[in-house]
Amino acid sequence: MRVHSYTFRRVLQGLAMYVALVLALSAVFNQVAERSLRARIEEDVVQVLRSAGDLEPEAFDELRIATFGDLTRRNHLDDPWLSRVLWRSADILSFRFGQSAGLKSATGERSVLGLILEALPNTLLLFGSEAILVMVFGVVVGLLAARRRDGVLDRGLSVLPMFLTGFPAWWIGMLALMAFSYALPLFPSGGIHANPAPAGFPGVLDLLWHLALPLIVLVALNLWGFALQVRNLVVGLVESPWIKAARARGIPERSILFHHVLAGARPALLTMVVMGLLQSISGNLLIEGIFGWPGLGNLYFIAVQQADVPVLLGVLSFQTFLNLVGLVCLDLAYRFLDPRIAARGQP
Amino acid sequence: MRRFFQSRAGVAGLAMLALLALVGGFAPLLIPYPGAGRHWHDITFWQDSPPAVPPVWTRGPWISGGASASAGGRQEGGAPEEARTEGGSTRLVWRFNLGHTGGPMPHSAILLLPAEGALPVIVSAKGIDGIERELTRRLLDVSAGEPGRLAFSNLEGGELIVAEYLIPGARRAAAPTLILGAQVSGLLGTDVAKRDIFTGIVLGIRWALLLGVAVSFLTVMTGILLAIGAACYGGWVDHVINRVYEFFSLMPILPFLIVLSAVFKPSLWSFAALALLFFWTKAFKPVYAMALQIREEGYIEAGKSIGTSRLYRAFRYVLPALLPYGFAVMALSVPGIILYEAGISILGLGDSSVVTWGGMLHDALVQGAVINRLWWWILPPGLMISATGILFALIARGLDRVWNPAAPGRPVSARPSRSRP
Repeated sequence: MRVHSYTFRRVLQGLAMYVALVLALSAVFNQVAERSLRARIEEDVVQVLRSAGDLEPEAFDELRIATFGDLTRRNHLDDPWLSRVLWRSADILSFRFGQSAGLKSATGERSVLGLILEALPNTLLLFGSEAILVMVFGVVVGLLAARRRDGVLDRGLSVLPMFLTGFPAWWIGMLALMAFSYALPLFPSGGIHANPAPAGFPGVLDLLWHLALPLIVLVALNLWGFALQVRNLVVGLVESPWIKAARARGIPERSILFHHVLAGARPALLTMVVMGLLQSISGNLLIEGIFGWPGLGNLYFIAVQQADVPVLLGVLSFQTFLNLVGLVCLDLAYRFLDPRIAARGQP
Repeated sequence: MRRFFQSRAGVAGLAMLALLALVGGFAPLLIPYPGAGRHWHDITFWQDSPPAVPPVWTRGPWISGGASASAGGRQEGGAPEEARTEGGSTRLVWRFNLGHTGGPMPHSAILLLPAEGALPVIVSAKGIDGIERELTRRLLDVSAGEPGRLAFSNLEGGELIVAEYLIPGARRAAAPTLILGAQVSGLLGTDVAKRDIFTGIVLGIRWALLLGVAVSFLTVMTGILLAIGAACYGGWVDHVINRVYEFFSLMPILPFLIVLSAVFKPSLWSFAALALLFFWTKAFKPVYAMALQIREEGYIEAGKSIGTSRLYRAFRYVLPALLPYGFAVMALSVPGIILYEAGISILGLGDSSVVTWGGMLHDALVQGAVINRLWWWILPPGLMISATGILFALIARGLDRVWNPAAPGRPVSARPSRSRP
């Protein structure tokens, strides 16, 4: 029962925070969003007038004013400022992001939600596979470093992440693209598949080939910090009583590392992976822009360059939503992974 | 303090910082183009440099081909080689030797034609193969002070033949001058807009250091003060500050920057103000947790018993205990801020009135440096960003030893917690 009430409270808290963030976003974007909305209304008015065919000048003017007034009213542009912001927030909260100012999806539609849903799987593919690879390699490297304290790997691991903090990932991406796609044509210069995309199994190979370079760059940059955290975690855990007990029972060291230690490290590892994934999705926008990977980041990148306000607003609030969902799920998952937290009450 | 100087990392970082600050401070004396900071986006300031050429050291005597092919410079036309009067107008011809390069890089050249009034001119090139091709045929309208300018690119060796025609009654013009663009230029080459990259790199130091240090100091201090306030005052103050923290740590900063750039011109100062508003969250949480612990310490209790005020306890007891950690966090957050500024610039939302490394990389990305493999344009700014990041990470490690002597050589945290743009 307590678990349920906690879950309920945490979800409610997350929702309240989302509403607050969306309100702030729409207040900040109010002026530019309305400017783009007005431009869109004018476009629509022209369309209506054109489809009306030949009209007398008076009737033409009447229709123009009527359509304009109608559209303005329907979009709440005549309301006071606060009400406009509230209407926009309500639209965003119900995922009605409206139409983009100029960007089109692959099927040629201009709905922002369509654009986002089209880009989301690509983003998840890139950053999801990155998170999995970083986790697998990071755990292995971290455990190996922890097993041989002050060995070469351990020392390297304590220095490398520090050096990598200052490296802009997108800059490494630019360099990798220049070296391995233009100087040495090993990898494609961007995008997600060849044009036209091959079908069937060659299509999958083509996708992997396009995925390779951004994935290698991301994993190579993010692996070491993760491995260091795993290493620190494990070094801390190795001293704990249940590990000592396992060792006393004569369980082989390897098995202790991969079973006993890893079990204790699970919540912290999960946090690191989920936070890393969330940060990647919202943080490494530029990598997608550089590689032309048609995900959320690339959409965002293009929207910023073209000042496409509806798309910007949509992507931003969607990302904020994803972030919050991730954080709430993380808080809830702790209780299942580490029963001690649930017993203590507040995590 | 002694412990800091005992750590090799800290000393190395401090030395790098000193060197960087020195170079940044004496930038006006070091750069080959004084005044470039104000004229970075001024096309005429850079018009005599060659566009997109690699650094000097890529074609030295030590590389086959020799330096001779790369030498650029001015060639005065002197007396015309041929002067013939046909039907009232005079034809004057000059020949400029471009050298027998056949090198990997074609020449670029600028022809200066001093004259007054209308000047018909035909320029042709004679290649190494001896075939003459006409390059351009123009009627230049030249005023007295400014010579006419013609720019050529992709010249291969051989000769450049310039023929001017003097209309009857026109005044005799001075001989034309050819400025042969060097095939290499400066310590770090030039970009597509002919700007010297070394100059840009040196000019970028001051902004990176100023922005990084000032913003990280202010944000971390704000974070610490708010954390102490929340921890020491408790109650509703604690609650409100924590909600505000949650809000700002989840709120993306980019929309504000985009709106700012739509309404005003984006500037470093508006970026700094926004960073201050958002980045204090980075230091807040760990400091808050520590302040909660310190609040329960015996000496705080003792302070309370002798009747000190809450404000006094916060500033006299809690703050000094947290400052060493705060300095380490400051050093560690500098790279993040410089990276953030660079990321903003690469999106095209940066300050275009000053030279920053991020801005240079933005130009490189937009103007096709990646496709054209202009590595000397992409490598240096990114390396400078990375080096600055590393030096502050080293300093943070040195400070970490002061703060946390028990765990030598482990950084406070591997990465700044705030996501990148």
